Parts: sequence; C-alpha cells; structure tokens
Amino acid sequence: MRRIVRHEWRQMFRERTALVLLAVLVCATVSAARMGAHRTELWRAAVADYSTLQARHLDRYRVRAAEIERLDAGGIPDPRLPIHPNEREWGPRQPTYALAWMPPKVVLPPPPGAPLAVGQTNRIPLAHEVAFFRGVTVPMAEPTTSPLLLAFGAFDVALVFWLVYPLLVLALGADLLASERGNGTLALVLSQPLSLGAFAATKVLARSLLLIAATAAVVCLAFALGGVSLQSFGAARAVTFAAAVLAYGCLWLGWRWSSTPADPAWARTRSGSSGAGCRWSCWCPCASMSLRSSSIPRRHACA
Amino acid sequence: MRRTHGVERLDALKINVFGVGMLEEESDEGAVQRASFDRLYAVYGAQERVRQSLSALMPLIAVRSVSMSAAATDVDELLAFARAAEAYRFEFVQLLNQHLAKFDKPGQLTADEAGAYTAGPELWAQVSPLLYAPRSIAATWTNQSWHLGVLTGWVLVGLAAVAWTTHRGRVRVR
Repeated sequence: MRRIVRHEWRQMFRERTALVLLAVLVCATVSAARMGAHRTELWRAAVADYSTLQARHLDRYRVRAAEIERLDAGGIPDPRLPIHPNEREWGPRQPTYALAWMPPKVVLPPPPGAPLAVGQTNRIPLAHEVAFFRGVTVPMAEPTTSPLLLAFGAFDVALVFWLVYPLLVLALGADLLASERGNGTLALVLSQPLSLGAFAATKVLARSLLLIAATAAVVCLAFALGGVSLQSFGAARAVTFAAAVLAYGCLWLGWRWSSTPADPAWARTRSGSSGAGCRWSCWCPCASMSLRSSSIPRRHACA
Repeated sequence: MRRTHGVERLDALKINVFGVGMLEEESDEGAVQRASFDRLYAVYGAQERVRQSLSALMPLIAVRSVSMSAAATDVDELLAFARAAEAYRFEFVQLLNQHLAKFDKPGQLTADEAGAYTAGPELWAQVSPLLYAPRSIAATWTNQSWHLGVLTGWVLVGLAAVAWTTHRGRVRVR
C-alpha cells in the first residue's frame, strides 16, 4: 500500500494539473480572505462611527439641557451657548426631542465569521433606527440591488470554495487509471498479486487523504488571513465550516469517480470520462445562481 | 374609572392620561407592525423552504447555506437581529411612555399640555444599549439540520458509488 501511495504521489507531481489548480485555489483564497478582513474592518469602523456620532449628539443635548436648567435657576446667559426660547418648551429636556432629532441606532456588529462569508449581509440592512414617531425600527441602508452582485454574490472565501474548489477536486479525481494504462504500468501492476479493486481503492484513498490535507490547509489559511480567531469564532463553528467544505469536496470526488462506467471507461482518456462531472460543474452553479438572484422583498416593504 | 382608579373626574387621576394613551397606542401599533413583519418573514421562510427542497438535488445550495450559517451571516441571523432591534425599540419607547404616564400632572390630556414635561439623566440611565449575541451553534445546527442531512446523504451516496464502482471495475489493460 505504501508503494502504491508513493507511486500515486509521484504520478500527481508529474501531471502538475492538480498542483496548478491548488495554487490557483490558494491565490484566490488569499485574495478573498484579505478582502473579507478589509470588509469586516470597515464594518467594525461603521459600528464605531454610529456610536461616536450618537454619543456626540446626546452629549450636545445634555449640555443644552443643563444650560436651560441653569437659566431657569436665575443664571446669566452664556453667549457661547445661545438657547432659543422654543427649546424651553420642547427641547433637550424632553425625551421625545432627542429621539425625534437623533434616534438611537442599533447596528449589528460583525460576527466573527464575517470575513469568510458575506452571506446575506449585503441584502438585508444591518442598522436600524430606534425611531420614536415611526412606530417601527427603520432600516438605515438600502440593500444591494445590483443584479450582478445578487446573482454571483460578493467575492468571499465561501464563493472561492464554491467555484474554484471543485476544479481542484475534479483534477484530483481525473486520470485514476488512464495514464497507467497508457504508460503500460497498469499491466505491470496487475501482474503482481494485487487485485484491480485493491489497487484502485488505494489510489482513491491516497487522493482522498491529499484532498483532506489540502482542504484543511486552505481553510486554515483563510482563517489566518481573514483574521478569524478560533476563540471568538468557536471551534464548533470552525469545524462546521470546514466539514461543509470537505463534504462538498467529497461529493464532487464521489460524483467524479462514480460517473465513469465500469468497463472500460476507467481506462479512457480524462476528457472522455469526465462528461458527467463537467455537466454537474456547469449545471449546478448556473441553477443555483438563478435561485440566488430571485428577488427577496425588502424589509421595509410592508412598513 | 371609579372602579379602577377610585376617582370621579379625569383631573383627579394620579396618572397622566396622555402618557397612558401613548402606552396603549404604542402597544397596539407595535402588535400590528410585528404581525406585518411576521408575514414578511414568513415569505422569507417560504423562499428558504423552496431552497431547502432543491438542495436535495443541488447540494451546493446546502453547502452555501451551511457555510453562511456557520459564519452567522445568513438571513435567519439577520432577521433575529431585526427582531431583537424591534424588541429593544418597543421596550425603549414604552419606558419613556411609562415615565410620561407617571408624570405628576393629573388629568393631562393632550400633547400640547405635555410641554412642561421634562426628564433628567436618570431616565436615560435606565436605558441600556442593545447587546446582541449571535445565535448559538446548537441553534445553527438545528436550523441547518436539513442541509446537513442532505450533505451527509450525498457524501454517503458518493462514497457508496465509489465503493461500488471500485469493486465492479474491470479494465482492459491493453
């Protein structure tokens, strides 16, 4: 078994297709994770801006209310802080005044996994006004209406795994026995006391282990570059995310290997035996994109 | 009024009538708004159910959904935050209305008369900021149980197919 694995390893390095696609996946993941980290930083800054703005306005009202109280107690008017007569009737001392002119905002802070997946955060407002007179929380940002963005989604780590990762899986799944037959090594191997099933199963196992290792490495890279700490994200969430990616890869691998007829397609060329995989790889994303682009009614549609 | 508050006239009440009206109005309007948004969220839920059913055929939908949910950026998480924001607003406004209702101006009936109503910093001190925590991973798993099941099923089917193909495979070596 160790010899077969070593032989498989040498063959994959000779082919280089999987390595090139692994490099493409790593580059795309690096880019997406860095963009995700930047986007999350902007999000965090927006939350801080909301808090700062709110505190500044409420402090302004507090200062003016104190000035009115001081004047009512017989103090001398401060020329640097002129008080309009109307402010005594309906002004900063009344709770409804502050809420009417500067309603508090509640903003969803970025969740720990935000750098990994934009998800629906570009469709549904993340900030709400606690409006007093409107009878409802008011979404403050318009959701994205760009058809392109709605169809494809934002460029994030999840999109990279969705679109690029299957290419690596297909590359790993291709050419299980074809080149062995072409090189004449298949006949040599089967002349040994080794069944075809055992030989193929060992090759499948070797490639599956390689896929698991590559997936774990790329997911760890995405976590590291995206600034996702395991402590804040939670080990269970991280495992769920990684398991979903791995399951996605496994089912592509399963489709790839099971889509070939038993005899003699395993020994056909890769282009001839990967028809079903290519159909899936084209049809599934297109169908899903059409689903994702279906319009979701905006939250304030019924307000 | 006599039975509830033990008084004969409005101006003898120990509560602010205008404030009580605001309390009732907010309570009624809040219920209407919540019902409207619940209907809207039900539409979201129906869309999600369609997606869920299709994920049995297209597992990448399940993968997207699970990854979004694990990252806490899915629709359910955002709607949970919207609900929390609305609950916070309701409690905030009702706190102010209760303060106005207890305002010591017996029998006050109109908004114009509320001009003398003021509040100090102690009122704002009662309002804490909204502290929202993402849903637990257990809730995520429960919510995504269908998609997780679909993924597991597809992986098992794929592995079984691979095992079957490997077992039945025969190759012309020349």
